[in-house]
Amino acid sequence: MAAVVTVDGLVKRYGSHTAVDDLSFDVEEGSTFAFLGTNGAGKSTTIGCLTTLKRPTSGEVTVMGHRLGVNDRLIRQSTGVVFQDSLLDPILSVRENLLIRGSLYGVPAKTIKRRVDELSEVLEVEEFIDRRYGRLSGGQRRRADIVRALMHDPKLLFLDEPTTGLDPDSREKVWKTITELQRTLGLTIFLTTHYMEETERADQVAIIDHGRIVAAGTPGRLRAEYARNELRLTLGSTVAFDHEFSRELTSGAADRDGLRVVPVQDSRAALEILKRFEPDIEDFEFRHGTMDDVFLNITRGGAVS
Amino acid sequence: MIYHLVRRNLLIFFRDPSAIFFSLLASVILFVLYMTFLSTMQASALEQYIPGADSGAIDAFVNSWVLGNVTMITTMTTSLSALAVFVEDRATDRFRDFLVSPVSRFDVIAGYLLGAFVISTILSTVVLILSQLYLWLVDDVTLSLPDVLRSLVYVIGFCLLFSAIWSFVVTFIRSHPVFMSVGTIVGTAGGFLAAAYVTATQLPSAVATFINVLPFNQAATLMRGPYTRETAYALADGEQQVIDTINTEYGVIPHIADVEVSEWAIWLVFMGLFGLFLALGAGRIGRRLG
Repeated sequence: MAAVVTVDGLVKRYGSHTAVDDLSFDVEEGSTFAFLGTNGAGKSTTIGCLTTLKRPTSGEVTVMGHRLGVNDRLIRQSTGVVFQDSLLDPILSVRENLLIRGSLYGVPAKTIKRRVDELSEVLEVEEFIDRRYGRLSGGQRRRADIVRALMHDPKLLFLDEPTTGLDPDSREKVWKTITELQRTLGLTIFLTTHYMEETERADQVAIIDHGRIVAAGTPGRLRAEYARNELRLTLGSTVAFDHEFSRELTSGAADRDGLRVVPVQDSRAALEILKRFEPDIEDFEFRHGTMDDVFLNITRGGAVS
Repeated sequence: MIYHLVRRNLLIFFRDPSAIFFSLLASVILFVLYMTFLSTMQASALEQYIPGADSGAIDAFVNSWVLGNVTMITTMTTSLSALAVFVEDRATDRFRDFLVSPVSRFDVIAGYLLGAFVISTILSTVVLILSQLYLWLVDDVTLSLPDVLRSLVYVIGFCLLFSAIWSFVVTFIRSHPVFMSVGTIVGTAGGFLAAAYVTATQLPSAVATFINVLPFNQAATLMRGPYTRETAYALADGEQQVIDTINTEYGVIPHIADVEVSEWAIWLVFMGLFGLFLALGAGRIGRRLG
C-alpha cells in the first residue's frame, strides 16, 4: 500500500517552546492511523501542520502526494478535516452550512446539492438537516461536521478528537460512521484521541508525548510490548498463594485482604493458576493488557519488562 | 469564492433580528429624540433667524436635516455592526474551517470587508428610502431625482469608507461583549461627532474645529446637502443670503478643521482614509487569521 501521508523530521516551535519535536511517520492508504497523547502533547499542532493551518518550523511533509508549503491548495482540495470544536455556523441550518462550505471547493451547485443528499442519508443527518446547527446535540453536530468534511469527496479525512465530550452512545455512533465510511468510500482516516480504548480500532497507533513519538505500531504489537495481562484473585486463604507468588505480586494490590493480582503471559497460564488454587478462590478476573496500560506505562516512563 | 463568503456573512447577519435592530438603534434613537422634543428646539431657533417664516417650511427643513443625519449615521453604525460576523468568527476561531478549504486568506479578508459594505449599503439604502417616504408623507416634500441619486452615491461612498475604518478597529476586539460596548459608544458618540444632536455652530469653536477634523461630521455635512437643498430654498423663500445663513448655521458647508473647503477636498480626504484603513484593516485581519 502506498503512503498518503509522509512526515519526515517535522518540527514546530512557538518561540522557545517546541510543540512538535522531530516527528517522522507514514500513513498508509486506506488505513486508520491514530495519534494518541495527553492534552498539550502536540497532537493538534501536528494536525494543524498537516492540514496547512500551521506552518512547520522545519521538516518534510507530503500529503496525498503534494508537498506541504508548496502545493497547500491541492492538499486542502484532497483532504477533509473534522475539528475538535464545532466550527459550523450555529445560526444557520445544517443544510445551509453544508451548501456554503461545499461551494468553497469550487464544486458546481448541482453536485453539492446531490452530495448533501447522499451524505446526509449515509450519516443519518436527514432528520435534522433543516434545523439550526446551534440547536443540535453534540453527537448530531459531530455527524454534521463529518458530512461537511466530506463535501468535496476527499480521500483522506483528519479527525481531531472526534469523540471528545460526547456521551458513550454518540461516541459509538460516530465510530460506527467512521468505520462505515472507511469501508464504503475507501477513506484513509487520521485521527487524534486521548481515549485509549478508541485506538484499539486503528490499524496503526503512534503515541506522542511532549511533541515526540514515544512508541508506534499496531495496537496488538504495542500491547504485547508495553502492557501485560493480569489475573486478579480474591482468596479465602492467601497462605499457599503468597508462598508461591510473593515476588510477582503487583505492588499495592496485595494490600487488601484476600485480593491478589498476578501478571500472566496468557489465558492458558491464568487457567493453570486457577486450577491449582481453586479451593482457595472466592472470585477471579482475567484482564487483557489494554491501550490504557500501554499509554500509562510509556508516558509514566519506561516499558514493561 | 469571495461571493460565497460574502453570501455566508450576509446570511448570518440578516438571520439575527437583534443584530439588525442594534445596528439601527442609534439612528432610531436620534429620530425619536427629534420627533419628541429636539425638533421643537430647532424650530424655535429658526424662527429667530428667519422672522415670519412659514411654520410648515420650518418643520420640513428640520425634518429633512434630521433625516439626512439619520441616513449618514446609519452608514456608520451598520458598517460596524456588520463586522460582528468577523468578531464572532475570531472569538470561536472559525477561520480554521475556511482555511482548510482551498480559499485564500485574501478571499476570507475580502469576504468580511465586502460583507460589511454590502450589509451597510442595503440597510442604509432602506433608511434612505424610508426617510424619503417620511418627508413625502409628513411634509409633502419630495427630493429631486438628482438629489436622491446624490444621496445614494453618498450612502455607497460612506459605507465603503466606514467599512474600511471599522475593519481596522474590530481587529482590536476579541469578544462579543466588548464589540457590543464599542457599538454603543459609536452609536452614542456618533450623533454628537456628526453634529446631529447639536449643530456645530452651537458648540464652542474648539469643539467645532475638532469634530470637523473627524470624518463623521464631514460625511454628515455632505449628506445634509441633497436632503436640505429644497427645504432650505423653500424656507428662505429663494433668498440666497438666507440660504447661505441656513447652510452655515446647519452645517451644510464642508470644513476641514476650521477651514472651509470644497466637497471634492472632502472626497479626496475620504479616499485617502479609505485606502489607509483598508490596507491597515486587511493587513490586521490577515494576521488574525493565523
